[in-house]
Amino acid sequence: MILVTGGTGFVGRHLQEELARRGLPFAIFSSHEYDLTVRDQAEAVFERYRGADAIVHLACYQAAADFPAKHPGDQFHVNNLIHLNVLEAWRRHAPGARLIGAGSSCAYPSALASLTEDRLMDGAIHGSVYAYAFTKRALCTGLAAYNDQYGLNGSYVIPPTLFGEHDDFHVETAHVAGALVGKFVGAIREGLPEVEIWGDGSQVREFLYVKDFVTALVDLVPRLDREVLNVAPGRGISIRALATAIAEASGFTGRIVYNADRYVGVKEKFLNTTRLAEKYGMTLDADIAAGIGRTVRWYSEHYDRLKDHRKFEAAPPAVATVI
Amino acid sequence: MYRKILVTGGTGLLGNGFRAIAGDYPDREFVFIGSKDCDLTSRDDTTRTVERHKPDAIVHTAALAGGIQYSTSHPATLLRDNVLMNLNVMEAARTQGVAKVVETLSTGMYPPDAPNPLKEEYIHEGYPHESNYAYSFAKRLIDPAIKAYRSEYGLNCIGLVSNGIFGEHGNFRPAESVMVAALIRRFFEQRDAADPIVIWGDGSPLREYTYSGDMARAFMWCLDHYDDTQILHVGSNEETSVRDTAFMIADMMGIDRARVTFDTSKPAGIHRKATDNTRFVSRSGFTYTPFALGLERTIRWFVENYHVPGAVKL
Repeated sequence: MILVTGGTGFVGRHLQEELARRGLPFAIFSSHEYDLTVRDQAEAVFERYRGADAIVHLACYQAAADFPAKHPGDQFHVNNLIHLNVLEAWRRHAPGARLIGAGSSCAYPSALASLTEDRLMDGAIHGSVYAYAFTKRALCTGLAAYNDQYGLNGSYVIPPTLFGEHDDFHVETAHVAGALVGKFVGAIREGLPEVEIWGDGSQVREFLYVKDFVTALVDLVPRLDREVLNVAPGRGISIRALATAIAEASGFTGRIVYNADRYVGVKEKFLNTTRLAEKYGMTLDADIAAGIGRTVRWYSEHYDRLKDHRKFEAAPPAVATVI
Repeated sequence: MYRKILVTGGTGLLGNGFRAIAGDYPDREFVFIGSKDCDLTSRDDTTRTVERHKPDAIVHTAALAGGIQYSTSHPATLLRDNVLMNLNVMEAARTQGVAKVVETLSTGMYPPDAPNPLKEEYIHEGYPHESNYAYSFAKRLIDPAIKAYRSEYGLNCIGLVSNGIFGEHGNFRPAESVMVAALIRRFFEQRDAADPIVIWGDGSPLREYTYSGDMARAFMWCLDHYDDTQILHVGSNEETSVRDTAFMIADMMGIDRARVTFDTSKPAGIHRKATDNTRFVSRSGFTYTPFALGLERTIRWFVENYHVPGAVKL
């Protein structure tokens, strides 16, 4: 049985579907049932599922865009508590289970060109996401520490930016892929003539369709052995190519305006996948077209319900949500 | 002025430095708490303690630390307890309206291959030493914590980086103490014998130590005058070789220098661990007690108290 934290969030929903599709038993819970920022509740849920063979730890308190700059203290505090409580509950109640924690590519040093696993903490983090990114480094350090001190089997997987159905599409909190899907679909539905994109569109980033990620993740769960692993295509595409793909999928025919005055970060960034390929013989699809098509279709179908949906309504809650 | 100051880690090296200088600050009230008074890894306990004392400032010097044997066998405990203590202190300060928080970092957190002298901006430039990675990472995590709490909540918190501390009331346990304290103890215990006192390596490595009262006074200056996000080195940068340190201790204890021998077949350790304290000293004009003077005082105290039951951490 696989226990999933953050099972009700974006990645968690897709992971559930994949586990169900393969007929693998799993357990999920929401933050209303067990709040992982509270030690006793983290202990309670791990005790309840103490027979788990594996734990996939996705839970975290995350949003993109302006959110990290507005709530660094809250993100720092909440995520550190979640990770510390999960690690401690794991070793107390389910030490026989392997644990796979979800990392984030934003925890890599911002000055690094080739993002290889052994250099995850070899430099400073970009200023825009530091609070959240440091808690992801804390999780990685914590896994190593629990492995070393208690002889557990914990690993850490790092995806690139994921996109897909159930993503966050709100411009204030979404990653660039979700935000652009939100912008283009929104422009069509609201009859807007143009879509503005920050930067000149030339910067290269890495994207992965969430279903491809969870498929790889479920394959990796029984195979990972106390390691850090990039799970990614290992290739990037330009923001311009991403925008074009989304515009085509959504049928947008208006103008795309690139606002080069906005700072959008380093020129090029993607994960090194040598280990994934050589040790696991796995390659992931860098072609986003099919996934973008499904995502645009899904968001269009749910547009009326989701167009004003905020990831964190009003004040951010001091509870676990998910990547 | 921060009148009432809560000092966590009240029985530790730095805490004892604060006790030593408390009399020099007659308009302040220092409240010292140790692990027996409050479990800082418990959020409720920490909040209750802060609520009870209602300090104007918290100087958080408490940390779980250990020698190489402890740090390699207990990384999870070191990470968890230190991160929780830091989080709980900052959360308690924020929720209880404490006007200022001073967090304590350590030069041990820097990458082992960082250039000398260490500058504050090297904090995240490479992995910490593998023998103490969890403790080091917990200390590094104070840097983003300060940024985050200042930025979102406007909490006035600062991070001060300490290097090796020595002084009266210090810790002289071999696995837990800085090298100079270990040498003082070893020399004293072998004082009346005739056999050689062996030191590993050729004695050339350079080390810097800060006298505990100086460190506390530097912290007090920063508490009163420093309100920036940037972490700050506040220790002394006076360097002394292991050889000179050993000879000074021998001289002060009346031990013949000829008994001090250097075993060059054994590793000497890192050649130099220096810190750049320019940021702090240029702002404060701070002057440190010369190492020789601090050493003399420490040795006098140690010799006088060695046989007093419970007086020295041995």
